[in-house]
Amino acid sequence: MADDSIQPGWQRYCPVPIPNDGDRILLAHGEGGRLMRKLIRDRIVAVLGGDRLHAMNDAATLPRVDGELAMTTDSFVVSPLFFPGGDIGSLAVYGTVNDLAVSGAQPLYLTLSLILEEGLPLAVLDRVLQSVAQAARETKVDIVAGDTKVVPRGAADGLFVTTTGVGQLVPPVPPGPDALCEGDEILVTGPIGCHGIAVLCAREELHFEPPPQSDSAPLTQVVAELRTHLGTGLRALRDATRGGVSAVLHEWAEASRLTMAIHEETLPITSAVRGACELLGLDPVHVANEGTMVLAVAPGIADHALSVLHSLPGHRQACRIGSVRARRIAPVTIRRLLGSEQALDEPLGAPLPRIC
Amino acid sequence: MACVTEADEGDYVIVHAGIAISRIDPIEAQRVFDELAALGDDDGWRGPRT
Amino acid sequence: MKYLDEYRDSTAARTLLDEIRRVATRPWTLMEVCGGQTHGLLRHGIVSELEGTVELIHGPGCPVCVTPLEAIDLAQQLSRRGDVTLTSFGDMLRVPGSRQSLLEVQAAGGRVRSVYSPLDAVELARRNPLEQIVFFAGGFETTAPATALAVQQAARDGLENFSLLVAHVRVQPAMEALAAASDNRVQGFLAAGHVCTVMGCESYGAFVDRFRLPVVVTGFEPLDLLEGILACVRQLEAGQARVENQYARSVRAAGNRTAQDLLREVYEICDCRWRGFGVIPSGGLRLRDRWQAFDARRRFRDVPALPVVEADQCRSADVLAGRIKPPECPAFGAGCSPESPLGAPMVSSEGACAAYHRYRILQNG
Repeated sequence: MADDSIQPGWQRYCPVPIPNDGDRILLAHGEGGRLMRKLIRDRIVAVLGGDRLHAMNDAATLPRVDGELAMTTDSFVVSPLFFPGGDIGSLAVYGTVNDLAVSGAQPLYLTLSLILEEGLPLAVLDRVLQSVAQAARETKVDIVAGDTKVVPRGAADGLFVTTTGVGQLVPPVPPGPDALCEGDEILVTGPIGCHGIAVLCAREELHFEPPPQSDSAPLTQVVAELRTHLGTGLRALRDATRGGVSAVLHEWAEASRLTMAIHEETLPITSAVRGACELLGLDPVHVANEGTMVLAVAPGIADHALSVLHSLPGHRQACRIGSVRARRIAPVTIRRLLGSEQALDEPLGAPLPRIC
Repeated sequence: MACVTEADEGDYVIVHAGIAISRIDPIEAQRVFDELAALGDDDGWRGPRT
Repeated sequence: MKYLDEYRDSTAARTLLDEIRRVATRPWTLMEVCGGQTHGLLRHGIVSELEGTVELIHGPGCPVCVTPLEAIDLAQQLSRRGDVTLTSFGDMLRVPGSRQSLLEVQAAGGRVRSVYSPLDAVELARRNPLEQIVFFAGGFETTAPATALAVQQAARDGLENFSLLVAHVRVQPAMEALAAASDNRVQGFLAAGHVCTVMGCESYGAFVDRFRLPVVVTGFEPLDLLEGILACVRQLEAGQARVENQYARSVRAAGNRTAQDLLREVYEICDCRWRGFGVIPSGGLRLRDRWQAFDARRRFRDVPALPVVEADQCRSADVLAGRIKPPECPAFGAGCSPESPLGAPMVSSEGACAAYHRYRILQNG
């Protein structure tokens, strides 16, 4: 089999030159010997920094925190590893930090577990780690513990990452979807479907010009601003990752036993996403985001929420997409062009596998 | 673009199964809206922005 | 987005709806031929808006739905061999065969991969010279030029590990079979815009003369669909039967000659079994003799054929022929849903059952 024919995507998509065989991950890098210690100390800890990581103890000890904690974990298997607007490194940090932020917590610590495929170019690993470090600095979280495993060629696809995050809950915590009420208004913080389409176009080598960009971004600041300005009027917020806006609305409908009713015409969709979705037969409402959130706010404060969002960079296209209503026969409804109201199904299976 | 050799840069084409099968004719594209205007729907509709 | 948003304007759509209601002095029954049109009509709520004025019978233009079971079963057999990677469009992979779908075969160890274009499958063959890449080529005359191009490309590059499992079908012979049927209720056809983009609309002249039924070549956006319906109703009210071209921004009378030449060069017309219809004379395409080297059926002659089994509760044959609407099938939404489909029309993004399931209108809203 020719070298460039190997299934895993990182060789085909990674824009860094593929180095000579001496510069790749070997099985020996995971076997506990000198090679492994050197890899962890010189390539991983050196880049990620932090005193607790440098100590390289079996467990990190953390200072006492007053009040409640929030904890979350997420694995990242996105293919390709690098895509327009982001990469697996920053995604793994933002994804976990965002889960903490939307849960009402101030993110504090992360752990980072790497599963590396034998043969992964070290230059690719370096680039991913640089991106992890940069994203952690940007979101002010400390990477305090980690793990590295190497699996034989073919048993993983280049590089998988798992991050676990701990944060401190900052009251008053938004009450969440159980507390949704009839009349609450539903907003999105930006154009929808950007991440899924960006990754898909990169993976399938669909050459749109300009290439669609992922919305992968930290949400800590925008969540903080919204909480400050809206207080308890902010009922629920979620980053609309896998399954897109539709998946969030379905979860909220189930938790609240109410109906989430949205209008198709109001959904903000960039022309790049619209064009790609038309071509590929996808509905942007089911396509993943990594920065755009769905919010529910109390009746009457949607305009205030929008003015807060519009004052922040990158949220100009935030808008109202619908409202919460008494439960009717469908959990989520969408009003179409001519006014007919239809049930919006949950996304079926995964038309876009491995987007995060 | 093997099947739509007449298309130029800036033209819109219809793509099916990864190949272009036609170039959109901007004059014909306007016709729909001319017909609408004839039906009296000229308040707020001025055809495709070209 | 240009050439999309302006065809979705709701005010303009209302104007057209009103005009259709004004022109129609009695209820008419039309067939939209293409599954893409079916989805557009249901998604935008046009079918329900026209209730009592125009009944729309959903045509057979869902290529995945009419691909014979025998071909789907053969594709599965190929993917189980171990030395073959079976490639096709995503919809084709989800269609139930006699026993399972290609995706289920994949989960059990079969080698299956979805691609967006047959040219991607050629590229896969180039990158994997030790592996046999088969592209499962279903679809109408819209898709066939791309698969013809793929064969030519593979020949030019000397790729001996690329082949096609051809299941291409032709639209017009199926329309003729429907129009000629003794129980036909269709009074006018909305012809498939993209097929006509390739094949042109001149060939419908003979069809119209023979059956005295209007044919309006129609696009896929709401305004296209409404204009196509209006044109058809106007002809019917005036007692006319002509070929009209609503989708002229894409369809030229003679079609796309380059694509037609490509089709003629690689394929020849043959009788073809359609799932749900039986054999349709001249209803399919097969590779010409000089391209036989790329015919997967020849290359893998040794693969045993398994008996073909249709799910007995599934009434997709009646749906495809327009005899029933999807919700009239007892299995619709009960034993059959997009998650666990019994028949192809519940799977495909062009299937009528999937369209009804996805865009069901809430009655007690």
